[in-house]
Amino acid sequence: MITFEWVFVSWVITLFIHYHGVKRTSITTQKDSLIEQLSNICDPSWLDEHAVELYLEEIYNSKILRVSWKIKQLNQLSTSPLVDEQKLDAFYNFDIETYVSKKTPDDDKSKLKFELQDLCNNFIDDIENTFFNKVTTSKKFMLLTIRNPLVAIFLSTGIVYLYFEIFTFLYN
Amino acid sequence: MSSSRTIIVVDEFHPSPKGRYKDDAPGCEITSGEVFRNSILIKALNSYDKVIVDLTGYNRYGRSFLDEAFGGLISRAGFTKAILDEKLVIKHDTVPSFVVTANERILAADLKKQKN
Repeated sequence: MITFEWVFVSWVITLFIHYHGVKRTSITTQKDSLIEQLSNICDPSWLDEHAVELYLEEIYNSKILRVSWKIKQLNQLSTSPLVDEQKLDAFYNFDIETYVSKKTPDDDKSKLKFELQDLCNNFIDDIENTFFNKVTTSKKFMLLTIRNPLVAIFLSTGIVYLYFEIFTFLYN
Repeated sequence: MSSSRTIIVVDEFHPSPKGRYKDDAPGCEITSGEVFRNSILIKALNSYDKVIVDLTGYNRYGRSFLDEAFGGLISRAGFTKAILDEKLVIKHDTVPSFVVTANERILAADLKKQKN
């Protein structure tokens, strides 16, 4: 006969599987969104030739800020940090002023364009690599992300079990 | 006795500092790194033993602003890196990358000065 305890245990296992699935989907969506934002930075379509240089620099700074927030959100969501925020230092230090300047010779602009593209591509590659190693294939990551609800459910299960034991004892 | 002064950029200068020179774009006469350096930073460095520049409160500092405000202390205002190492502290509570960039600009200005 299937007792209440077994129904409860199977419910908890189903809950864990569902929770892990939802969490993993959220992390994947956040990671994809981060990669999209990074790709937008090296995509030259936002470089309007007729715009004031400072305006373009401001667009670049806003894009970096959005990436920075995405990294923070992704790290918060995944419980253990997936992306190192310090890797953004190179983007903050990129010579965007020379890159968007109308006075910069074409050769120098090309060099900076490649440099920016390289920064983006390396960062994207690094994120994908970490994601694959930590999220897609690692079993440890699953336990890390669900450690808080895991403790909560085990404690609640213990409390419910004690509750039943006490009432059974009292009725007997 | 050593004296110190903390400059909270968003309160004492402008809530959204941007630009290198005051004539970069309309509005830069009150937001640029050049204006910040000349109107606040140099005076503070000349008057106090320790100056803490707190960048917290704004998260879109441009490299040009940081370069002109801090690197400009060496390239244009005659300070040396040794003096700045002793007197100047730059901080940002939420985005440490701005501090890294500002210090890197000081170092770059110093290297450039040594080469010339």
